[in-house]
Amino acid sequence: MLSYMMMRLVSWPAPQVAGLILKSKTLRHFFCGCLMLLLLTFFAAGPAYAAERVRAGVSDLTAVYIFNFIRFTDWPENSLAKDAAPDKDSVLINVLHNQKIHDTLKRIIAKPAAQKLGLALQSCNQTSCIQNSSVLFIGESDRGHFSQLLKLVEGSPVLTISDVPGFAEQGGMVEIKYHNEKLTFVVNLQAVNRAGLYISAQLLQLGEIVGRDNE
Amino acid sequence: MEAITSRWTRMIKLVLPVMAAGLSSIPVMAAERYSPDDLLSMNIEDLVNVKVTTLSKREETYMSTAGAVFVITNDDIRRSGVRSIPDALRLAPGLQVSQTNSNQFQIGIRGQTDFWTDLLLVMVDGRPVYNTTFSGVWWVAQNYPLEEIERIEVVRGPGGAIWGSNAVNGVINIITKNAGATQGLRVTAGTGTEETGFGNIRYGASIGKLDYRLYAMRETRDGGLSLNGITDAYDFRRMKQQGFRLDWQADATTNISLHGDAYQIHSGQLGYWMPNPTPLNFINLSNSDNGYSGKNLVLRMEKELTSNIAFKGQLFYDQYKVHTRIIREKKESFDGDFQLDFSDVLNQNISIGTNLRGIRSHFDSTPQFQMPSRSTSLASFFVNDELSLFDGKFRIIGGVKMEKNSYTKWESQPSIRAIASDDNWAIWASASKSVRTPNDLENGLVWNRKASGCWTSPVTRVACLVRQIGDGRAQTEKVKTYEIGARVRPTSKSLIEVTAFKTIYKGVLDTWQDRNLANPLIPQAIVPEYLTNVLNGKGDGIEANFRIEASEGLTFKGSYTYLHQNYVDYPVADGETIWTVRSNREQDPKSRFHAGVSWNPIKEIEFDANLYFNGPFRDNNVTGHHRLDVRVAYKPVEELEISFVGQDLMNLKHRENEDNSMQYSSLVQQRWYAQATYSYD
Repeated sequence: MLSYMMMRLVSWPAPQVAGLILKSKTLRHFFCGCLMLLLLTFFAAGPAYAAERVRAGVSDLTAVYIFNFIRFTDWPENSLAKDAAPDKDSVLINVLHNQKIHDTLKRIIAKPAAQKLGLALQSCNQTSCIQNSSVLFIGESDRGHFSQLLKLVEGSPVLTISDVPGFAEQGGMVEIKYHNEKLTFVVNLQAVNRAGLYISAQLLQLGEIVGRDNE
Repeated sequence: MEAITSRWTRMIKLVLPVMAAGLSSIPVMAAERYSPDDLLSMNIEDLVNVKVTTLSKREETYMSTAGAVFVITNDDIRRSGVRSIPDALRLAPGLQVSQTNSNQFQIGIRGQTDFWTDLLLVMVDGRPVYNTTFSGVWWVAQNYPLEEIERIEVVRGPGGAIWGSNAVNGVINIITKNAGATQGLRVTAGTGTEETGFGNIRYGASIGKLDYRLYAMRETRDGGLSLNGITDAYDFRRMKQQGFRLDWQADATTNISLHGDAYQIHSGQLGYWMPNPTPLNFINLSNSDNGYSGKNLVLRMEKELTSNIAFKGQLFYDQYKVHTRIIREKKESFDGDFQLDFSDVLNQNISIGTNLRGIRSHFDSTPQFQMPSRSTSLASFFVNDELSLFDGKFRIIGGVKMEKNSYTKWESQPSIRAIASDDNWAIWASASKSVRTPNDLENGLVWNRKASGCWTSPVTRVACLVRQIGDGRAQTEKVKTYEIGARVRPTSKSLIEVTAFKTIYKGVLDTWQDRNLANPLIPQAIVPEYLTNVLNGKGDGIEANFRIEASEGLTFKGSYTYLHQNYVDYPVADGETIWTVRSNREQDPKSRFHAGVSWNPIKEIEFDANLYFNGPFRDNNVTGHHRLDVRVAYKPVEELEISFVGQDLMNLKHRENEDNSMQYSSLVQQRWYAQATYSYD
């Protein structure tokens, strides 16, 4: 692949550039010299392939994703809980079936950056508790039963997130999925709109969308 | 779905051992794995690319830009050990940076670089800092705590279709960090042989969704050496600057920022002075003090109106004062800039925008320098359309900007670009028309100057007075530029770019001495020198750069620039303009290169070396110049960094540029300094 790229680089611009733009002989000389230099750097670049890449833990990254999804979501007015401080909206996150993500989120919401969003965290299976939350994360170990949970919050402004494959296709709002060595996400826009939520385009443009209104 | 599930499981299997290894051998693995804090500090755009680390959003944008762009990052600046914004620009390919003396810099791209460089648009956080007085930049007044600069984006080539006139040969945008990224206390201080004392302090915090930072900086730079190489030159610089930035995420779709700065600068200058500029008067060569001060306030708002319409608006007020023995100016600008971006409309991204600026300038005339005080204005509109084909792999971008200032009719600046790109390669081509519009000096200047080579000899004094006159005869300079470029990422940690360009200038603005006896000034023994279009010209060349992260902690980078220029003295062809041709051709080096290495032998130690070369130029006293800068830094604990820097290590002293009509040159000395930075969140 390396040499293929190089061929493109060398064979494509050189004749055109030389012909079109560079009339002087010295200039062409420099240009060729420069390409030689590039060729050398290509070989020098070889070992970089072997370099170990920086990775992130899956639950760490998932937890940070959840935090970011909250940042880029607007809830309808008066829909957020006001329990802790009556003058301040609070986003209540309910994490089910994934202790690691729960623990990481717990650390995250204690940080100053998260405190200004007014986040609260729980892990609670009771119906009233689930319906009362603003964000519901459903862990993968619950993959068989997530549709029941979704029914509980249908039509309410609860942002549902999961890493269960096919979650967004089957009525969930945001599915975090592993693809090509990275975590991406799928947003079911219909489900989001039905719940009266608004997700910023800045976030949407980074993910895959299913259930656009015009589809 | 089956496939996805199995991939998911496979991934967990793959990741778990990595995580376990991370725990067992923390010192080695710590750098290999992002902590939740690392991840939290990233933008969402970056997060979607974590793990594979092929491309972040910014790299993706970078790869798919149909133009010659280069980004100098905060890390590049810090590790290079430079102490000023002009010096930091030496890190970019294609930039011609030279220093006349300790406080005066000349910066240009693709030619015509001198103090009066008039083909660049320079901005700080979107606020233009080039002035409409001479279409150039008072670089001595452009400062910011380098630690708070997020990046400097350099666009080589015309940006007129979006940015407007004077973005003929390039755009430099200095972007400061978001207040949210500069929380806590940071103190930097240092001292050295030339940078005798410098320091800055920043404090950042947040109130709800509002982040803010405050900073103050102070620097003292010693003068260089006089050309005799023995005595100190009177070209010191002392500066102070204070500022703030607020960033407020009002809601999920609205970002508002407000920032402002104020600065006070004093510098020394050796120059001549004509207290009574008549042909029979003597000229006084002496030291004098210059003062530069200014303040600005910028309000910016970005809002997503709907999922595919975004609004950007900016209002700013800028004021500066220049007080030298000869020039005394106060300038105020009021500016409004509004833009709408429509994305994904029939495979197109369309942007439209408008800019309105009111400028008030006040001059206190001196016997040598007279300019009228007045109010001027600038209005422009632009539209830019990006058509995306083959899933974004091929794009065509067309745009045009219409602009009018108080001295011109409506000028149009169209450009068309095409690019084929993927994550790992891109080839692009562009053709643009841009303009350099007449400025204030060209419309009202009367400047009595000493003829070159003229001293106080009673014999020659008659010919000693040249009167530079801007009588409005200057017309817009029109420029056509053709570019072609390629970039490739052979691995995820390397990048190579090559650009070739050709620029055709019509009506280059410079000076013309009218020696015709019919001119009424000639019988008074004054040589009239008009600011007007005197040359046509061509410039072509190539720019290439590379960056390779060879291993964890070892990075190589470098660039090479070749420039060839040719000017003819047309439309005005006489014995005088041929000198302008010569100086234009000779004021830029033919070749330039930069080669740098960044190395961390262990995690706590950083070593950097940067070698810069400016090729031979000028027929007079200035030749080519190698500059070697070396920096070693030690981080005993996370909060503290101590560094030692040596600059210009290959010469004890050298002359980097000739005298110019503003200031005399001095010798730049070898310099050493030590610096400590303490930060606490």
